[in-house]
Amino acid sequence: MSQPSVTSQPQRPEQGKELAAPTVLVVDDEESFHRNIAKYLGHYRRINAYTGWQALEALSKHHVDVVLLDLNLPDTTGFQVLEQIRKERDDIEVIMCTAHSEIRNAVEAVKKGAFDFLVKSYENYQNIHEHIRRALEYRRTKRELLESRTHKNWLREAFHLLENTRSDMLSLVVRLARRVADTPLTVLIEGESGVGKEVLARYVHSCSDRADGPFVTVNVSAVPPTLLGSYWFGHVKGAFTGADRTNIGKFELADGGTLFLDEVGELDGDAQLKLLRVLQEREIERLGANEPTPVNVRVLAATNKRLHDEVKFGRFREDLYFRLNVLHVTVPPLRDRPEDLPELARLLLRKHAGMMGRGEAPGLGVGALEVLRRYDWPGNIRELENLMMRLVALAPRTEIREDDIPPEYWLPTLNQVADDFVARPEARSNLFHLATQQFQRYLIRLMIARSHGNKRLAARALGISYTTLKDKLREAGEVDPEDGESSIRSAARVARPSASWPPPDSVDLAGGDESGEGNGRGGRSSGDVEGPHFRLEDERTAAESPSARSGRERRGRSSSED
Amino acid sequence: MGATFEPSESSVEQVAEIAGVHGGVEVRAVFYALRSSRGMRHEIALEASGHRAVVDVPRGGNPRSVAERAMSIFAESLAARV
Repeated sequence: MSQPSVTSQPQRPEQGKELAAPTVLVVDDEESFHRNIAKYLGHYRRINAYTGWQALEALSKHHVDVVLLDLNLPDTTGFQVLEQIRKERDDIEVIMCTAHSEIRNAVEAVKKGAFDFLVKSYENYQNIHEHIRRALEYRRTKRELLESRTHKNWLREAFHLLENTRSDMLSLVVRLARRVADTPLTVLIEGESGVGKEVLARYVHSCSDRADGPFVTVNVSAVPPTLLGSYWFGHVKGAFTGADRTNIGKFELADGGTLFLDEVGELDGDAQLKLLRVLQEREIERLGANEPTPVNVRVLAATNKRLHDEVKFGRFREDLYFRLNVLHVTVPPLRDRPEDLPELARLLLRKHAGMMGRGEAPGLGVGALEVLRRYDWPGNIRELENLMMRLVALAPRTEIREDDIPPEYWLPTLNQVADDFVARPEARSNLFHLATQQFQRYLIRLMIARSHGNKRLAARALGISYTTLKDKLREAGEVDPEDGESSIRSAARVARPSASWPPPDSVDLAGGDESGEGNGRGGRSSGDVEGPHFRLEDERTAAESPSARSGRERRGRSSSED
Repeated sequence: MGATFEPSESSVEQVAEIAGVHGGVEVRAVFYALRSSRGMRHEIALEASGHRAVVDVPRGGNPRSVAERAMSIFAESLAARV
C-alpha cells in the first residue's frame, strides 16, 4: 500500500516562543488532514503518524501531550488505539477526529476516555488551537487533583512508615512526637538537610487535636529579613505605600493549627525577638495595626544547625532557645537507618509513579537495593527521592535493576567489591585481574542496558569491538544459547512498552512488519517527527545484510586482536 | 510595627516550685506569674540534668496541668538525647 509521504523538516521554535512547547501527535492516514492541521497548530510541536501502530510507537519514543486521533486507520480503529493509550497512560489527552459525525461514536469515544470528539470541518481546523488548549488545561487540573490526592496518600504511607520504623533511634523520636502531639508545647526538630523534618512535623500535627486545622510551612531562610514582619504578621490597608488592602500573615493563616518554621537557625536577631514575643504572648500585631490579634498557633521549629552551639556563639537568643527546647528531637540521617531504606525507596517509587500517572510503580531488584544500601546518602531522603523520581521517569522496566542506578551511586559498591576481593584467599596473588574482570562485567552490563539491549551500540560506546564484547559476555556466562543474545537484551526487549501491541492476530492489519518499517506506509518510519529527524543506530545495524554484518564482525575481531 | 510591641509585664513573681522524677530523670519546675495591663500569664521554667526549657502557658490555661505534661516530656526527651 503506497501512501504519500511527508518530508519531515525540523520545526525550529520561533524566537521568543517557549522552547518546551506542548507536543501534539497527529494520527491520520490522510495526508491532506496532516497538511490542514499543520496550518493551524501554531507553536505546538507536531509528530505525524499514519497508522495506529506508528502512533503507539511514537508514544513510546517521544513525549506527547495531546493526541489528535482519527477514527478510521488502515491497521486498526481509533477506538482500539484510544483504549491502548488509556491502558498505559493517564497523562495524555486524546481528541478524536472523524469525518463521520454519528452521535454513538462521540458517546463511545468519551466513554473510552477521549477528552473531545471533533468532526473534521474547516471550522474545527481553525479552532483546533483552542481545543488543544482546553485539553491541556483539563490535564493540568486533573494533574493538580492527582498530586493533591497522591500527596495525601503519600503522607499517610509516610506516617505509617514512621510508626513502623526499624530504626531504634527514629522509633524513640516518633514515640516522643506522638506523646507531645496533644500538648501545646513547642517542638524543636534537628537533623541534617533532607532527613524528613517536615514529615515529622506533619506527623505531630496529624496526631494532635489540631489535625483538622491548617498546617502552614514557613521557610525562614527564604524570606528577606525586611519583609519578615509583614510576611509573618500581615499588614493593614494603608500600612505602607502600595498596601492597598489588608493582608493576613502566616501566623494568622495557621490559626487553630500548626505553624512549621523551617530553618529557624537562620533567623536574625530582630526576627528572633519577634518570634519570642509571639510565643510568650500568643498575640501578633499586623503591620500598621493599633491592636494585637490573639492567635491560637502551635509552633514547631526545625533546623539543620545545632541550635545549642548557635546559642553558645551568641548567634541565637537563649530565651528563645529555651522555649523551643521543651521537646528537642533529632531525626537520624538515612545512613544511620539503612534498615528503613528498602521501604522508603518503594514508597517514593509509588509516590512518583502516581504523580507521573504511570499506574503501577516499578519494583526494586535485589541488586539495585544492594547498591542503594551501600551508598551513604549525604543528601538523605531528599536525595533518595530525587533518584527514585529519576528512575520512575527514565527506567523502562517494571523492575529497577542495578544497571539503572546512575554510576555515582556505585562508588561505595566498588569499594565493597575491592574489600571483598582483598578478603578472598585466591585474590592474594591475582587481585588486580579478578577485580578488573568484575568491574568490566559491571560496565558491560550497564552499557548494554543503556543501549536498550543493543550490544553493537554498547560495544561502540565502550570503545571495544562487538566480538570482544561478546567474548567478555561469554566469559561471564551471560550468553543466551538459544539465539546467541544475552539475557539482558531479551529482558530489555520484553520490557519495551509498545511490544505488546498490536496483538499478534492484528499484526497483519499493520502490514505485518514489527520493525515499524515497511508497514504499508511507503517505508515511512514510525512517527515522523517535526524536529531533527533521526533513526536509532540499532535500526541501522539491524537493517544490514548478514554478509555485511559478518564482514564488519571479522574486521572488529581482527582489530580487537590487534 | 508587627509584633515589635514592648513586653508589657509590669511584675514578675515566682509563685510555686515543684519537682518530680520522670523516667529516672529528676525535673524541677518553677512557676512565674507575669502581670501586665493585658492581664496575668504564667511561665514555667524547667530544669533537669543541666538542661533548661521554658514553657509559656496561654492566658487562661492551667499552669499545673501544663507543667506536669511538660516535665514528663522534657525528661523523656533528655533521656533520648543521652
